[in-house]
Amino acid sequence: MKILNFVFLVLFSLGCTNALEEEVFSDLSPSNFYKSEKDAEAAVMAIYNGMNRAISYYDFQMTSLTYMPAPHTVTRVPFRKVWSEYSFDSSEPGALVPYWRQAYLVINRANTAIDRIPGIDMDPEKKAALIAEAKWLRAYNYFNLVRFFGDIPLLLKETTSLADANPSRTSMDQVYQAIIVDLKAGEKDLPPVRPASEKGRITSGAAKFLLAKVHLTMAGKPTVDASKWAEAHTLFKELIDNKDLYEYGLEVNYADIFDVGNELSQEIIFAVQQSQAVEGQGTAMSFVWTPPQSPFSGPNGQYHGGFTRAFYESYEPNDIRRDITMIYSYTHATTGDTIVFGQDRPYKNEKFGIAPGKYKDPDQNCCDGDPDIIVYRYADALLMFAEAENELNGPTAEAFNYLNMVRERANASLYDPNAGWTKEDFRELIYQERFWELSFEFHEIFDIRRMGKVKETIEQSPEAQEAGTVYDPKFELFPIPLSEIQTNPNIKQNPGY
Amino acid sequence: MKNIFTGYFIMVSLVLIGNQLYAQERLIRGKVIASGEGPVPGVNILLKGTQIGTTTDMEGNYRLEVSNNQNFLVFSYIGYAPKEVEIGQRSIINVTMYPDVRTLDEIMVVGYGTQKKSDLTGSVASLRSEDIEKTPVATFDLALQGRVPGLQVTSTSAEPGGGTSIRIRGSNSISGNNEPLIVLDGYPLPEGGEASNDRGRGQGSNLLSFLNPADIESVEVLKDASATAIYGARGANGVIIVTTKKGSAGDSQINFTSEVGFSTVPDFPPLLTGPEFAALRNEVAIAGGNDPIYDGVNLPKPDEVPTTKWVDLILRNGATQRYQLDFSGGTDKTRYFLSGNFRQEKGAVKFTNFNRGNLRLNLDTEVSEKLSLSGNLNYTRSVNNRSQEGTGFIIDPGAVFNAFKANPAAIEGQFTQDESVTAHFRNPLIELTDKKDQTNNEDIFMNVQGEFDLASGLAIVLRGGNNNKQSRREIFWPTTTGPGELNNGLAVYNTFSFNDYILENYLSYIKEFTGHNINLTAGYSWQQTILRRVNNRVTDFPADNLGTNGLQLGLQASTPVTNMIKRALSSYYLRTNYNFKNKYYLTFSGRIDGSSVFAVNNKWGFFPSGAVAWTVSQEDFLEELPTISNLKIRASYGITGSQAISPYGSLSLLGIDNYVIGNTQVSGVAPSTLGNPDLKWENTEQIDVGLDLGLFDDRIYASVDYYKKTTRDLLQNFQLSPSIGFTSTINNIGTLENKGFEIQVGGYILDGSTFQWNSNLNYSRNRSKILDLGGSEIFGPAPAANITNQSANIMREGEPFGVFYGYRITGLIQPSDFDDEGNPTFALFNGDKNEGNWKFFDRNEDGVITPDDRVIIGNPNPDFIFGWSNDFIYKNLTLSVFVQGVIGNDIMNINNLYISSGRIANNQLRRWLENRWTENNQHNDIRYPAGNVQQNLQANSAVVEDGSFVRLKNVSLQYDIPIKSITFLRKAEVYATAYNLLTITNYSGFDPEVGIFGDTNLAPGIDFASYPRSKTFTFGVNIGF
Repeated sequence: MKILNFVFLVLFSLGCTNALEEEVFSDLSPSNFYKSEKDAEAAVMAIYNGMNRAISYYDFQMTSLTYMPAPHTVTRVPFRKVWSEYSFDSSEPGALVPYWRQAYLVINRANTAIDRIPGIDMDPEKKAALIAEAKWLRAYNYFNLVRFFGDIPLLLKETTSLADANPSRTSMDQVYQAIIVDLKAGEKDLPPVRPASEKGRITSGAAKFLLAKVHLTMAGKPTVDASKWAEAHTLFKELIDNKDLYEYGLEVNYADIFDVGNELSQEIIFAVQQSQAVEGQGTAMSFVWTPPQSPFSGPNGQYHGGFTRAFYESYEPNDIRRDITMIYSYTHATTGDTIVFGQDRPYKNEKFGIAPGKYKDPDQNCCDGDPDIIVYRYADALLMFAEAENELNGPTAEAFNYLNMVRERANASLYDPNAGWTKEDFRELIYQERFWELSFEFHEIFDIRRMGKVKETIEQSPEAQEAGTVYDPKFELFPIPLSEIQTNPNIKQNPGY
Repeated sequence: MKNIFTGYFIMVSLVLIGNQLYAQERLIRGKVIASGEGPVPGVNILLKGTQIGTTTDMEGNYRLEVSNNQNFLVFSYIGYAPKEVEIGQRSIINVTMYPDVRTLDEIMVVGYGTQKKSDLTGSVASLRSEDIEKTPVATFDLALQGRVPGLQVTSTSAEPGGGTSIRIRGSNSISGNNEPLIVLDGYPLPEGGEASNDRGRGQGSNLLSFLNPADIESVEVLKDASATAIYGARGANGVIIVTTKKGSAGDSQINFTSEVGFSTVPDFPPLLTGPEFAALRNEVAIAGGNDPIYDGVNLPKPDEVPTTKWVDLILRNGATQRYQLDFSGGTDKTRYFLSGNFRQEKGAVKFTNFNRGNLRLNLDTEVSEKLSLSGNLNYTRSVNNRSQEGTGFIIDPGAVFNAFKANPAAIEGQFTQDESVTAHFRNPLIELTDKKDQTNNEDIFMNVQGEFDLASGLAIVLRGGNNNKQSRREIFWPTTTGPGELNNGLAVYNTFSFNDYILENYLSYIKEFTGHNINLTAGYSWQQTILRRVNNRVTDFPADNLGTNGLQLGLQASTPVTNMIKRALSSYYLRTNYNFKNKYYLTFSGRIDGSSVFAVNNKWGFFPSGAVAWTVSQEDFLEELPTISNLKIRASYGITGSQAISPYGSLSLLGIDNYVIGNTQVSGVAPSTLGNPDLKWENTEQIDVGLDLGLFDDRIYASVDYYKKTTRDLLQNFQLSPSIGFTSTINNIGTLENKGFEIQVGGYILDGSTFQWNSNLNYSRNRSKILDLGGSEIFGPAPAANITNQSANIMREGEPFGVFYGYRITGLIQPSDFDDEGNPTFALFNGDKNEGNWKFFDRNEDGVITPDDRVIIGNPNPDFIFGWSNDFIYKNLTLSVFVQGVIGNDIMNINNLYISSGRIANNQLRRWLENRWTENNQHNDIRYPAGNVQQNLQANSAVVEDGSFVRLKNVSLQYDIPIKSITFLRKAEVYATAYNLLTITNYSGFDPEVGIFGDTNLAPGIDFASYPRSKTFTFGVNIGF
């Protein structure tokens, strides 16, 4: 019996629960990662990755959500048309459902970095900067979400268990407060400029810029907090005054901003980096938007839609921005013929619009485009500063000074500050100027909403009119995607949807 | 044991001798015949309850004096069931004896021990080596086809080395494995694997091919929970216990078997000739307003083009050869079995073959009175060249679909003839001849067991084993082949290995006292597997010369992928058998399994079962009815599990999500899956009620079982709120049910001294139903990339397992289907309103056909399956005839979407051309439409066919050469076997036994260019020394 005892002892001891713990070999897991500075860097880089082409964050989703619902947009493809017509619903699969999923994926990646990096033994300054970088990216995504959807689930911790599976909606105010907290960390802990090896990553200037933009947005609809004008004004002033520190400035030539050979110029505050040289790191932007058989994206532009002729004609003829923003004519990639919009095949149908021209990559093959996705740039700061100045002090010379700075570069005529403008007039000038300057740069729907122009937009949009869309207050927000409503019992749909 | 019994009989007879002195005596005589052997000498005949008796002479005759008060004679003969005969007033008593195999004292191998068949309380079926050896197959699972009630073995690929799907009483899991656990000489085999194919698609090979069927002594199939619960978390799909041959004490025996075979080229319905196809292309071009293609200018006119029969070109007569040499024997203390085997099989498709060699040594020895040791050692190496059917790709399918679709007007030997018409024309023969696709496997199996008697009735068994597999797949497409041309040479070099070991011990205790019999087994087991994979893919070869032997020649290499997985299982198990006077039986068995793949909060599972049985025939009131030799009623209930959770499936993992700075990639890592620490195994509750019956000394026997299985906590993907950053995780949601009954009836129908006929019929019926999926539906994979790209199967609540799903065709579009303005009065699918094309059922009546209009269009599960085996024995000749049937299942014949639909991008069946809808041949037979638009070639009811078949599966004739005069020979036997000789079916494809996606639960019953099944004829000789 002693032998028996011995045998059982030996064998049973093999069976202790520890031996059943799963050891992971070919996957990274939280148990074998987040140990070094390199790991911390990788955790932050993965956040940027979430806004990449692989999930079409910009080329499909953001363009549908921000550009299509503008008064000057028409389209060729049905899944875009629901956005220009304002006929989308909560199940819209092309942009709404994937954007929500993607933004929250990015947020969870940021939350993970923010939660995990503090435990890593590394240089404290670098640590703070990495956390601040993650917070900026989290704030940017929440800022988009809160403007698209209103009250939204606010998750500030990494999701680690199914117990966290059904978050409720948090009020817009609280979401904005969280955004502000994140951006203030960025202002404090991030470097003002990046060395070449980090070029394109978030800086303290980008944090200040976004903080200012957030305040300006809060002053408008639907939050309408007038006290924010002053804060926005101060922040923009600080940014502009310190432009040399951040190495910001207006490019001399408007076309150079979008030149694929001149990326990350002084004009750029934040651009998502794209490269053809590395597999999976390109964009489909020009492939999706440029006209067929044009030389801007191989010869294969998919031509999803573009601008109305009315918008084209709204520019002053000398305004160089017009023919950068839009491709009115081009040389046929194979025949060499000149193709003019509205006249020549395959670019003849007026209803499909004048294709956007800010993304061009001649050697692009489908989805490997080089052009960086320009998210924020310095001209936007100047226009917003002018806007804040007008809201606080009326159409002052300083307000006109900044507005004219942007117009001057574009070779557009300058406004006379002394022509008897009212505050309301100036507000309209800014609204217009923002379209002329920043169209197709993911601003339209946000400006339309905060400036109270949704009704006007629907009345001006040819496709919304053709579809018979009538303004409804529900259009001030998008519906919460069905994918969330169906899985999360704690989420109620926005009114009207 | 024997000594005890002898002593007992002597004692009893001494007591009884007294009675005899007073009795009056008379003479009884007769002849004893052994079933299958004729008259036998040396049969012991005793007067029941006495020691008085005699034996039969050389002719099987006997004489015995009995007294009037003695009523029964007991006949006994080694290897045959003892027989009790009432004397009555008779003076001549002739007796036939039956082999022991079917007696109730037959020893059955069950988990962790053996049991007498008469003591079983669970549902267990068994098969002996004789039945397995009759079937000329490479793997033993195919020999089980149709032989065991409740067991459905489907050969999913007829390719040499091709896979099977084995189901015991239906499928229990949607996402997990449904294959039963295989236990080889006590060693539960790990879930295996092999080196991956390129892009991971295509049919898997048979993972049991390392085991030589000729080495197998017996196979037991454990079906109900009482029998399988001792395998706990691996028991839900049933268990197949395989025991290999052992030597027996006595003279050394040498056995040599040599076998050759050939198989015929399978029949296939004729395709169009070159001129017919060219004319059809012209007809379609002209109808579309274009110029004819075969115009006599760029291409010859239709009547000038040749006909290339691509299907004939890739097929051939297959061939097999097999050589087996084994030595066995030993002393009372040590016994051995040593065997070597080589098998070669050339398949019906050219360049496909399977070669295997193995060596086995089984040894057992009694070290001392208390200690015995046994061991098994097996080494197998196989080389398998494959044709890659079932990839689901239209451009690069396997050889068979290439041959179906190829332009018959193209000329053999040309690579890109007719390229102007058919882009990517692939010469089917060159694709086969020039491509290399070879899998090399090596398998080592070692198993050592020691048994030590600790005390009377108490023994401890220790076992250690190791199973090691190395698999390597090398594929090379030179530039002369399609994929090679696209990639300028493409090489794939993938490896897979596993190393599994087991350590276990158990105690067994047997005790009898005053009618109470107790048998107890309890033990512990530890089993661990490490799996490794390496996948390499290299393209752009400046030269084709080196193939996979010179990957470094390739200019572009994908990043190699390596993967290592470790899994472990720690278990405690127990079985108690109790019976009272061999009448009332009670069994409890169960297992506690701790598995590494189980989630942290559910590391240990308990799987209990219980069973009762009543041997009614042992009761006094049935003793009066000698007709009923056996009557037993059984009932069992239990819960078993399935480890369907994949390794690391419950953990949170991170994935690679890189970014770019400038043109430099920077590393990014982020959460990829959200773990579920509460994940549980799937558990299957099973109830089984059965009855065993034997009549006329078991000359006729029958078994009936009814069962009901309910599988709960099905693992499936569970949708999460996207706002938490994950869209899904795996969770336990869902229930499904299988219920059915099984009948087995057999008997020794004729048993004359020169002619005997034994027959055995089994019937099984299973009904599956998905009870709950938490409101979701699970779709199968798309049968073909790009074109037939919607699922063909669905798992839906209230429906059977894996039913066919697709569009219902209501008829063909007729001229009368348009109103006066010429508008269609039916719902359009992709705008198709061409007359003679398919008309689809508009389920939601929205006037247009969309994926929402799909409905259930067929059921791949059979109504019932059966097997019928017969042995006819005439003197030295034995004829075995085995018939197998699968009745009531549907097959989705995806082939017909391509070759019988008018899709003129590929060749068509002649019968389509002859029957197709034309203006002059208007009909409503949906099998023969005019010619559909490509976007409409989705899974639909027009290609769902009845897949029932009855197959004359195996006919084998064996002749024992009389060799009494040749002293050095022990036996000599010649035999001939015909396999798959005749199939009766209405199915229109090659063969109704299909499963192109055999390895996925979600897509049963689909035929899409399956490897053709041939008839095989084998001739062999078996000599024993």
